[in-house]
Amino acid sequence: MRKIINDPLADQDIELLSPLSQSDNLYLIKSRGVTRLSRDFTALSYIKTLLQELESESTTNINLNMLNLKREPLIEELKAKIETLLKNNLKIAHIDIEEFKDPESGETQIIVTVPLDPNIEDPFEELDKLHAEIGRFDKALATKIILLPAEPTE
Amino acid sequence: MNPQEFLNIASYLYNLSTPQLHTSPEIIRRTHVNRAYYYLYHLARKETIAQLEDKENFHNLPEWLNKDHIHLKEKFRDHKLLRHFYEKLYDETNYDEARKVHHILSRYNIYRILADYHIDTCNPSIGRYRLNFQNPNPQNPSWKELTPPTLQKRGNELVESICNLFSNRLKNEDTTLYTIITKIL
Repeated sequence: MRKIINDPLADQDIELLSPLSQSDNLYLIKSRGVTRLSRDFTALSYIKTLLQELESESTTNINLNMLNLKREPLIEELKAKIETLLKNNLKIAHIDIEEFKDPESGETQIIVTVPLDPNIEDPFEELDKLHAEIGRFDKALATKIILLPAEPTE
Repeated sequence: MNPQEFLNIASYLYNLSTPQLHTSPEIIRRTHVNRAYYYLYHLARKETIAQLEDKENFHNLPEWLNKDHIHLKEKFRDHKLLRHFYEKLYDETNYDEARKVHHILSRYNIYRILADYHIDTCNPSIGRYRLNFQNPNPQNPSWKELTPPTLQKRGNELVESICNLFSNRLKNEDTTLYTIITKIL
């Protein structure tokens, strides 16, 4: 199945090579000459299924061996990384990690809630310092997560 | 219209003690949070475009983008794209200002999503984060970030970070910026 769709990010038409699964936002697309999966954290777990589907597609003319799949880390991998980094390197325990889907952009974000001293005037300032620290350890990880203050226990 | 007007209306709503017409305190608070995000988004969008189009900063960039029919005013109406731009910028340059802009926009966007979409409960949560729109506790960290003075401060930080990034750290780095912009747009 081939279909031309408009990619608002690429500002150009991209080829939708296959509707890869029933899951949200999951397509194998061709844009700027590169075949890749759409931007989605969950993409990796579907690669196998997708490749099988593509192999059975008689109309597809892409060489599966030449696929340049941009690998996005699985959400579970990211969670493990965050936990290790915050607990071991930054000595912050009691964090909660949640996935959060933006209903407008379709992006999945990782929300990490961190307990703060209730007397802090501006929680953003505190958490931004921590976010900068995370960036120093792992730049890519920092842009994948958003830190929020945990509600204090009464 | 100046982005400051979004802050003005957000502040007005924050301080509104008696809701008018048939509105509830909850919708007033939700609208306050929504306007607060738009203040920061429009401020970042405006400042980013102004800096990138400033010939004092970049001699060739505006012309190159124009030749490629890349109109930043139009592109950065896409909220995700503006955030993505700063994410990429941080990734490529390692400048902390880019990380900070991305973090501010992403974070306040979460508040707005809770305010605008999570209406089945007056107290939506993500993990141990909560934003109670019906009975907000002013001591709760969530609300401290949404007071008018804090929003004004956040806006100042955004502008300062963006200015420093383009008129200082990346000044005359036309090629670097051009490569990043064409990669994401």
